[in-house]
Amino acid sequence: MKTVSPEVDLIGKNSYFVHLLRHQKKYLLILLLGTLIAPAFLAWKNQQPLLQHGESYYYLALLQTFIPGEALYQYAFILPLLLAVASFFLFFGWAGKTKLTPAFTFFTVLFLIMTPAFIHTFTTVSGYAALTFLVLLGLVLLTSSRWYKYACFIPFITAAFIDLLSIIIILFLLGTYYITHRKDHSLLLLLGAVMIAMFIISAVIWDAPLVRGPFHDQEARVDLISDLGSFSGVSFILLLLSGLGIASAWKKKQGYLAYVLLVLLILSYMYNTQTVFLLSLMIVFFAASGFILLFERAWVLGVLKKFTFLVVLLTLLFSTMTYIDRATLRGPSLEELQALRWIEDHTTSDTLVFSDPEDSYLVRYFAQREPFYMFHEERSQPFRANLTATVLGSTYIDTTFPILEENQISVLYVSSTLREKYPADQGLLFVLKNERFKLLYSSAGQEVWMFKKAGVR
Amino acid sequence: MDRKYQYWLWGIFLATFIIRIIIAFTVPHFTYESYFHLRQVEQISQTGLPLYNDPLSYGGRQTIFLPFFQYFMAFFDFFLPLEFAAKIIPNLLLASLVLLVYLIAKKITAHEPASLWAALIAGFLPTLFTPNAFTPKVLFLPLLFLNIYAFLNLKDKKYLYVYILTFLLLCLTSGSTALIIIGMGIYLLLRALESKKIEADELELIIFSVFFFIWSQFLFFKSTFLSEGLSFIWKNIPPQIISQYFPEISITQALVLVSIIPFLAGIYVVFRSLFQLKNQPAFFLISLVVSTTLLAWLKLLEFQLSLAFFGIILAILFAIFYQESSAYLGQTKLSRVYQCYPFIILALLAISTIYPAVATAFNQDTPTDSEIEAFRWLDENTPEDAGVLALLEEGHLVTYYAQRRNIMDDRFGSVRNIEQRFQDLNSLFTTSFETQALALLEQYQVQYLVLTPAAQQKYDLAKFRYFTRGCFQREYEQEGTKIYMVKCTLQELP
Repeated sequence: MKTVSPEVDLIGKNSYFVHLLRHQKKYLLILLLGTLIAPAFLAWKNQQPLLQHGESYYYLALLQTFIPGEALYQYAFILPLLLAVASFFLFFGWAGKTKLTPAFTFFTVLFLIMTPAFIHTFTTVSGYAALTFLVLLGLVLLTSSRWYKYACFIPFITAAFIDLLSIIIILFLLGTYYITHRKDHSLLLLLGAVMIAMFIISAVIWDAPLVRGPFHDQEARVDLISDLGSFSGVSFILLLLSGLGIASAWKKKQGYLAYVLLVLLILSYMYNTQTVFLLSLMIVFFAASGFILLFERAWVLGVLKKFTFLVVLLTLLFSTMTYIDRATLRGPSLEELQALRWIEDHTTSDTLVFSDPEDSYLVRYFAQREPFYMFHEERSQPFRANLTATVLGSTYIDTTFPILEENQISVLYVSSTLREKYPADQGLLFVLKNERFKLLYSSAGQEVWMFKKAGVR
Repeated sequence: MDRKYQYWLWGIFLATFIIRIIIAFTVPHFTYESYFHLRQVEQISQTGLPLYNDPLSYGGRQTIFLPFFQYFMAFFDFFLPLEFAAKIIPNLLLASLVLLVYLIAKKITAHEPASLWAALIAGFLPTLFTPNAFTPKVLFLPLLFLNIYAFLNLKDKKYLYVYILTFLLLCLTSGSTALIIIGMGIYLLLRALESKKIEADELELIIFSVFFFIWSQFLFFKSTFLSEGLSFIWKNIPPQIISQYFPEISITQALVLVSIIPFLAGIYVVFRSLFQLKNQPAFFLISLVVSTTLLAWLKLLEFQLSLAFFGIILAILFAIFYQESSAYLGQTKLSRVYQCYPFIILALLAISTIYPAVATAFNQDTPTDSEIEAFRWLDENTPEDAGVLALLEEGHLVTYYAQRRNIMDDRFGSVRNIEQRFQDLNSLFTTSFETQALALLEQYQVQYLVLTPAAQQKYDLAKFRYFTRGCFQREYEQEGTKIYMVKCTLQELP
């Protein structure tokens, strides 16, 4: 029974696989475009904005000061796609200069493209999508032997503006390059010094956050695994494969560096789940190692190897399809957009709007009104974070009304998402039955309420 | 196999089966949860498909489950009356554990008398002695132990196919198959800690099992995972009653349900195996014990199932204990004790296993004749779209016998605001305020209220406290079971 059948070598000698490896760039690019265009297509079909998720509108609101008008909104959805395609070619450019095997490159990119964290990051205007592009560009320039290698300062310094964690990661990568390549020492030292200076300036003078975000309600137990309902993260099967990869990296030369980065990213994730994309990159890296380890070796039970291979790929595909299918649920929906435009048209520009913090980015961008509290302000505005939680949770008007009055909140935006998240007979949704609230707008589950001043009829 | 032992084995099997069957037919009905599965089997027999979109449960909802058990039973429904098949087949399946446990124990000990003792214990495990239960567990456990037996015999190629087939069926029978996956993980860990080589075929089967299990569960429960997140483990059970499903482990209760003799022997064997013996199959079984204990302790596995699984494994491990202890006694000068040893064991088992098993069987939680009659009356005398208030436990009686909408039953998965619904159901039995009751009855579109003796005992009431002749009319009363019709609705004043 214990004979190894040679025909089951799925990764090394299989003719289909050899063909795939030879033409991997073409196939993977097609897959990349398909995966990233699909959510936008579904959004377009549902008449939703092509850019989803609050993070996109956080950055669009920032960019609006430089690029006013509708053009930004109309064409911004191309930006993440361009970053993805550019990063794709840059990765292959960089991988060609390293000792990475074609099989490893193929599975890393394949798994990455199929990962919800990647799809999420590269279908939104995201800081970490920009970081990926800039770091890859920096690495490609740095590893070149031409004069323009010195241009690598530009992308690395630009990436430093995203957040402090980005600088730490760049420093780590430069350190790894220093240890593993043992060349360009003076350039690397200078680059390292500049990045440290950037870190100090960003932290002390500009008061930059360690991680920019979060832009959603964090739940560390769930945010990492897309199969459990998260809008980012990785599939459970990839996590399992990465376990194999993590175990096998132990035996590799300088494998400890990967562990150090993994620990750093796990800590960052626990601090702020916005970094889930960076952790996902690491998981994908280990998962590809685990997958190759699993299927490159000869199996005693050859048929079972083929079947397991198929099951793994099917599970991954299934997980990705499920994610794409619900990608447009992140919002905003057409109905939300209409309600927000209504606020813009029917309230004064100095109106402070209370909403679910996840909706606050949409309020700022679409309604052009200042939201009371946004998720990423949790550390800079802890007082407002507490007040928001109190208003959403309290059933007593003696608690809620003074908060609304003292903060001069006159408009409340109640989206269908907020109604789904909170019970109708408790908290804010219950308090809304009080006569001091007046329903101004209601359509398809979206509501705008006015909070009347005491004594006003 | 010695013919003498063969007779003994078949004798134990038949004794187990016959006693189970006698009790199954003595107790006239099934346990409450069985009626959900009976209804699904009927549905499959009629349409070929399970009732995933149930119009009656919770007033209409989607309920996803692994359907192999229901399909398996639907096959028998073609040539046997369902209620008859539902008593014969499950008891036959659970009695077959006797044979499987014998085979596994013999594989580990190669000692036939010891294996027979293990078979006897497995046949009369109190926790499994519920002959009127018609649930997937009755198929899951025999399949699981057949799978374990195949895993222990992988050297023989035909068992490889048995393993693969049983594993595929297990994945389609119960999510508790995770138990074996985690057990395998612990097995690998223990072997790695002992610096023992892991057989390539074992490792490959484990890898295949892990990936196939994940894939199969995602196929069925994709939407449940997405909507419930990690809470899917606790099956959306309302917090008020979660302790019934995942209770704090009471050692005393566990001792009674898995029987004290195999429990103590099991602890001894686990200790010896982990630190002294080098018996590979025993190692695997111990890994399963560790995984069950861990999962039950972390409240990730239902208490009843973990006890059943734990009990069977302990029965197998008892064989090792018996083998070692009888060998030890044979070497000492206590020859009389050695000769009497089987009788001592039998006496101890009769007191600690067989008696509690039969007592458990006669104390099964089943509805009475009068309760069943009341639900049948509802089917014949109420409009088809009526909603019925009954106890949570009686929810499946409403959908099976009355064929009407219930407010709640014990299939909690994917139901929104389950906590609130459970609270409302309790309020309908406990409130004294008519307006509150009417508002809730209207909210859940309930027109008939059933008050069975079980409900009267549970809530300590003879009639609903909000009962008034103006709003409720008694339509049925027999042997303590009452059915009321709601006549009023609550309206806002203009």
